[in-house]
Amino acid sequence: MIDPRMDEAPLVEAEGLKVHFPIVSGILQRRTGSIRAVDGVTFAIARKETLGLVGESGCGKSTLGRALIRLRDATDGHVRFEGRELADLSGRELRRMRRRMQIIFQDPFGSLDPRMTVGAIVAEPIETHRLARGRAKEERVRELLTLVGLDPAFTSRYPHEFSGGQRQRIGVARALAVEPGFIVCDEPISALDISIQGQILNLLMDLRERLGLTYLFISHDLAAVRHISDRVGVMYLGRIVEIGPSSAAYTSPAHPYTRALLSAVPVPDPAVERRRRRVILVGDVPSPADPPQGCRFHTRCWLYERLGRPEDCRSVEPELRSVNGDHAAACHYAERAMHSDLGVVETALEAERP
Amino acid sequence: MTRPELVEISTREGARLAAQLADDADRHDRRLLHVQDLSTYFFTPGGAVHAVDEVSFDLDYGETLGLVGESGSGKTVTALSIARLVAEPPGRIVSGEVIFDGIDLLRLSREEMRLVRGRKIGFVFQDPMTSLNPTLTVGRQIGESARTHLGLSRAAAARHAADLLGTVGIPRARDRLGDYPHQFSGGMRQRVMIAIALACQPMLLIADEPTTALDVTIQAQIMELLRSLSREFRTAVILITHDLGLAAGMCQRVSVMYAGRIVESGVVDDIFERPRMPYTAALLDSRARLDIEPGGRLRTIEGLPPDLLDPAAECRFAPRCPHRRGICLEREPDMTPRPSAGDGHTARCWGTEPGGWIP
Repeated sequence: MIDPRMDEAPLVEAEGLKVHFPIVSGILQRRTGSIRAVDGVTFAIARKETLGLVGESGCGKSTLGRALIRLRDATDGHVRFEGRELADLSGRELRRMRRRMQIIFQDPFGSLDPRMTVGAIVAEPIETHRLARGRAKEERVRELLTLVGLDPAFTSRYPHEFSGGQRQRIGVARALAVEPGFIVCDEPISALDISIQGQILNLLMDLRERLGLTYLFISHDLAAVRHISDRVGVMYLGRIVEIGPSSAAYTSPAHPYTRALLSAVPVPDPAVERRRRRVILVGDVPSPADPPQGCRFHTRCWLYERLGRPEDCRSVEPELRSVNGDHAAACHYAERAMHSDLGVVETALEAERP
Repeated sequence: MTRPELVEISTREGARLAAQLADDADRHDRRLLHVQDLSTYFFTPGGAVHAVDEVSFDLDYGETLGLVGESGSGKTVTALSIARLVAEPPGRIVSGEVIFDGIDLLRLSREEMRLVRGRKIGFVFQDPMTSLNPTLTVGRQIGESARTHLGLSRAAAARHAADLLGTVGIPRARDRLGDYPHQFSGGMRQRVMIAIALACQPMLLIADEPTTALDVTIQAQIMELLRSLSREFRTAVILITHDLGLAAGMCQRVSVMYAGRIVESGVVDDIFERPRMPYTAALLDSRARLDIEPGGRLRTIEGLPPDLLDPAAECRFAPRCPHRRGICLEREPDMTPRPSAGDGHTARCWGTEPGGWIP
């Protein structure tokens, strides 16, 4: 088990977590297989830590985020919050626990009820959890709007009157209404314009500081994830293939997939772009209903090809193992991957610009 | 990879067009595309929305230009206007010139324009699923344009389609001609779109956010494909994107759009190394990037772009600009030259004009 801060009990833990979705077909709706969205994942998030989760669409990162706060039931394995098994909680206990964990969604347009005023949207969780009533509730709503950088006078307006960035702020206010300790941020900036993305990232970092929040930050934007995360996990076909401190995972990635992902991210500097050596992965991600035998990545792996297609990549599924302290990778040849220079982007301290 | 043979245009209008093209044999001193003061408005009950406002730029034969901006900046409407694909009403090209390979496109009849579009300009859009016909096989869709515009026979069109599918990197191309769009993955569908766009060997390929819906590893594949195709066929490309990183890696020149205007243009290195319009600089700084050490706050652009319904006479970025002074709110600056390493660096900013206050 990989746990960076064993001296302190983690806030959230997943152990051997699996979430499978049945595939049914035919008029009898018989189960003919399953999508293995999350397929045996073990990790922990410490208090006040931000764990970033990256991966391509369909890798299972959103499903994993939802399973951590029991918006999805696990097919197998364990999820513990403050040491308590989520699956064992009764309805009432789960509801109480829900106050402690919230989620911010990607789509600031689809996740807010267009018929409710902003005040009602933010007040709803306060009412559900009976945290405040009447004047105190209204005061709390205004306080929350101010906290996320919105004018408290906006309470009687409707979502359509706001821009994408402002709607995302409303979503954040709603999540904060119940004073959670843990927030799953599921692609919170992906739907926003570039100039607005920075505002929301800054807001999430400020709130973390002020309120001592713990985040699971899910995104396909590798640069944004590095910016906000203490540690980062990389998912591929339902498994975490690499996890470790952001600095280590970005400067000496130990999984060939992480290197391929990094090398595919465009950098807004023409000189860097011309110098870079890229790994262009061939083909598409295989179906999570039928992942490849052995290492799931071997069908697209550049290192597997370079090493002359070693047999163990096809036959033995590599376990997540430490390559350096709490930096771990699931690759038989992680040491070889680490010593490649592919994918890593040199960093300058700060661009000098007027 | 074989370059498909071009066949003479068969229709009468086409013949006229071909003659016109042949007249201009000396293209050396000319640009492929010259856009001058192009304005496209959308007429709504509330007034005219100035979606594209006096946009000018040039594109060389075989050159790749990035049209960069956020949603609503007018980059897509600019591209649609060049190809005269703006829905009318509510939209209308109200003024300007679009000289494409020596022909003023805005003066062509609908039929002539249709020919130019089919033969000379290819399109790749963000979402291949909405641009492909779900009820036709991909072989038919690729071949159709070649049959219409190149006059190929059914069998020749099928061979041509198979060649193209192979060119864009679809494995077992011949076997997949009979497949329907839904049988392809997102990345493969975008390859099919590119094959259709290239079917008549266009001189210009307009790619509007071609990889925004795709994962980064697939995006890298598609960009590599576009790069090699434009090199091989000397196809000029207008890449419309909100991703400055993509423009940095793909384009020779970049034009930055904001609120219906081009606010800065230049060769790619000048734009990224020494932007002369605060909006460009702010865009570069407002996003986390892999080549800069993380930590601390990102610089942000406060506020929102202006309403394009009868925009004010001020610099359109002035209300959000940290460098603004009185003049910025009084008069909008023109695009004027800036001394730079590369040719033709222009910007629309009082502060970086000679003697301005922005260093």
